[in-house]
Amino acid sequence: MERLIKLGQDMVLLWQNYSSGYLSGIRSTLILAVVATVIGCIIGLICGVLNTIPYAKNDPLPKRFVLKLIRVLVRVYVEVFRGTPMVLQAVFIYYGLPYFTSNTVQWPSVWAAAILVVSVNTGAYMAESVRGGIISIDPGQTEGAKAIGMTHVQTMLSVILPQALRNIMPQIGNNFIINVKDTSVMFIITFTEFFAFHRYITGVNNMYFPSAAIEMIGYLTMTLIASILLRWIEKWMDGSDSYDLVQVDPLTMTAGTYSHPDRGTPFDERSKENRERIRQELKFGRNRGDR
Amino acid sequence: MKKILSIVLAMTMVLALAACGSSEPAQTTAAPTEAAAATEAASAETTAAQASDVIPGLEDGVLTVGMECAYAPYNWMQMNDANGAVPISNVPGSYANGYDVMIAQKICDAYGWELEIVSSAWDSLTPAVQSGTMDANIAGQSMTAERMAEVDMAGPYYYATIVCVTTKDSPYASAASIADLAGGSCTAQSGTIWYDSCLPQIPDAKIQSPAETAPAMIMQLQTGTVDFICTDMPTAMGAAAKDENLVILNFSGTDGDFQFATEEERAENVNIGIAVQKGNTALKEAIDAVLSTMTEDDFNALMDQAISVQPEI
Amino acid sequence: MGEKILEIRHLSKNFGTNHVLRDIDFTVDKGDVISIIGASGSGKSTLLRCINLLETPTSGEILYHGQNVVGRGVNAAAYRSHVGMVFQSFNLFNNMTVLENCMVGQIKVLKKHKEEARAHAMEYLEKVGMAPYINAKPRQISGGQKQRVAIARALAMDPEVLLFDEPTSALDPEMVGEVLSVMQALANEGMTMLVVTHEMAFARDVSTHVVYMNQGVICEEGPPSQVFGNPQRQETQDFLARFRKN
Repeated sequence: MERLIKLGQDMVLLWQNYSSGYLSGIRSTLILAVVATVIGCIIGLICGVLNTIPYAKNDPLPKRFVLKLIRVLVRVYVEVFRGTPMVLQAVFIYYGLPYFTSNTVQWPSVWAAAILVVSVNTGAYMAESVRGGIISIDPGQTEGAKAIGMTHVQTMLSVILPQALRNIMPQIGNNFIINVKDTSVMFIITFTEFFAFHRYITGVNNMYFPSAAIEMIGYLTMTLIASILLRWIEKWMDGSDSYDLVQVDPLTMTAGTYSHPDRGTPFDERSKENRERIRQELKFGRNRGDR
Repeated sequence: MKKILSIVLAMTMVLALAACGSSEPAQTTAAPTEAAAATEAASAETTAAQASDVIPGLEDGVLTVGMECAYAPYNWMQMNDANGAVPISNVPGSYANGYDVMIAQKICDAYGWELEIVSSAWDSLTPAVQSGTMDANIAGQSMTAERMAEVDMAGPYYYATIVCVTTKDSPYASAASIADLAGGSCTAQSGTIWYDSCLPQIPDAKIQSPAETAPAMIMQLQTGTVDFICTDMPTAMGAAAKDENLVILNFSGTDGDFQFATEEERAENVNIGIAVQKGNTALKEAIDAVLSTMTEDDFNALMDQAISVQPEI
Repeated sequence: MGEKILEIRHLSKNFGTNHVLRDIDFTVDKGDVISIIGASGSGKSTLLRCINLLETPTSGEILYHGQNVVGRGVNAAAYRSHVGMVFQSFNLFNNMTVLENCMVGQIKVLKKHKEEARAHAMEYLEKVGMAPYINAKPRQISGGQKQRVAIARALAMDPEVLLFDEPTSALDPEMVGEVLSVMQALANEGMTMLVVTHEMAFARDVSTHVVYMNQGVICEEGPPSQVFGNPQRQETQDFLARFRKN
């Protein structure tokens, strides 16, 4: 028990001395994770859309060749960047490029390299998520769009992608939270973020557990906030559960929001039968007497 | 749908620009302080003008040095510039200090170079020097043959006695030779000679997986995951200064010490050197020129000074 | 009767080794209401889907105003905007409201302005009786209502021909009536319609022409009085016998 209390005291001590360091680390982690996840999503969306461009046997040969080539390229990209550790991708891109090209290719800043590596890595995972999201949409939606004369791009943008996006929001959230924690491996290319400060601070004073505890709380805070925000976005994308009936009927009994659950039940005042009955009553009079 | 996409994209671009903009490698504003060793300045001044002209990597007059900044007392990070700490260029708001920083400052003072410290993970120090991203590594690296196959090393700039550390209440606390450590579980930092060459010499040692960093290794010892660790004297002294429960086992000079086939092999494992890009003999010689003016006692005195300014918290 | 809108010549469609359509010939004139009846698997839906190029015919020609639309170099999307389709499973766009469903095609494909598209969509939505529900999403309305919206969506594109692929097969009996009355109103106004259906009453009372398909070929065709009243072929008689009992 005293060890726990000492842990708490040490955490307070550490925070007093190094709070600016920890906070700047949190800032770096968040910026990298957000930017890289967004760019990765865009890469994934483009790959997913490219992968699903349809072609038929009687399309001209150049078109079929190009589309098949695109699919092969996307597949190679996905397999390579999903199948290798992000740590090694970072080393190859940041150190390998200058080394193997004898310094003709240099990196102007670590941020650019870090964002590139994490984005490309996220994009590979997102490409598969988007592809899964797109093929899980009922094919009837595509047929409905085709039947009114929409092209593939129009169908994708107006009908399929909005629905696919809603379906893959949980996966986007997953990828963001994974990125928040995986950015710690970017220390290998001298990108310092939240976890790097843990290394620095324990390097100076060996206070391993207090620093680790602060780090865990920091990461949990970031991911919880992200989780809550993403759920809220999902709800917003779904839209509301009830809708306003537009009153064109002069025989209005109730105005305003019509709440969905009552429809179809015996308590539905707006049902066709009820309205018809009222119309008849007004026309011909009531034959039942007043209640 | 379109609105939220465009807002998110705009925010992303702003963030990305802000991030890239704030990462300009900060030129160190610390002007070279008056060098304590006037003798070094006198002898090296003659080479100063020529040195900056011809040395590859120093065309901008800035010596870019890589170190872990998490390996006290060789190098560590602190939040202020007390005791001659130098700003870490890739971590704005932090400063590096320690034995390595002091040596680096001495070298730069001798030639009038500016010192830029870049912090990096242990495993990527060598690739950084190989690719030219950094001019030199002053990070407490031993001058082993494998390492010197990848980079050239100037030095030695310290002689690191190999020691073991254990807890006061451990059965090994009174060991007088490595034979007494037989059968114990142990570990050391990954990628170091202590893990690769020293631990295997202990008979029947249960060698655990290497620790990623020195503090991780010390934590394993403090929590009882291992019985003892093997490291060098400065790291051990730094750890013992913070935790009185630790005891240092120094077998050097006795028959029970770690053995090496030849003196060269011992030198490999004890000498700490400065890594530069393979083929960069100009920089190597420039650094050796400064180091040759210091004796082993100078090194030890400087190390004691580093340990004394190591922050408490 | 009217001008020839569609002419189908020697159309066939194979799915692998399965010959679903074999050498189909027929013509669609303006104002025709053609009912296509037949047992399941006879190729009725496939024929309809070939006509608006949702399936690519294996061989044969479909002449739309004299131009063949089967083959390379044909802008299928432009052709489909003139041939509307109503599906058995409605296929309304789930991410849009009823009104947006009817507007999106006009805005994207016909390049109309938003207000013009809205007014046009409201016109047809009122016609099918779904005007109060313009803010509802497809998941919030019943099957019959969804089908009526689907009809309005197809009508809003001002098609020359409307194809109906078993429009009432997925509906409860109460809702079938409301959809059929909309289709009847459309027929009375002179819309050219091709309807694949199992509703024999509709086929007999509303259509101008009935086509009975069996195993991928047109077995018998003619005016409803002939096909229902005096079927020539044995297969037709057997098929209709099932319904006469009701």
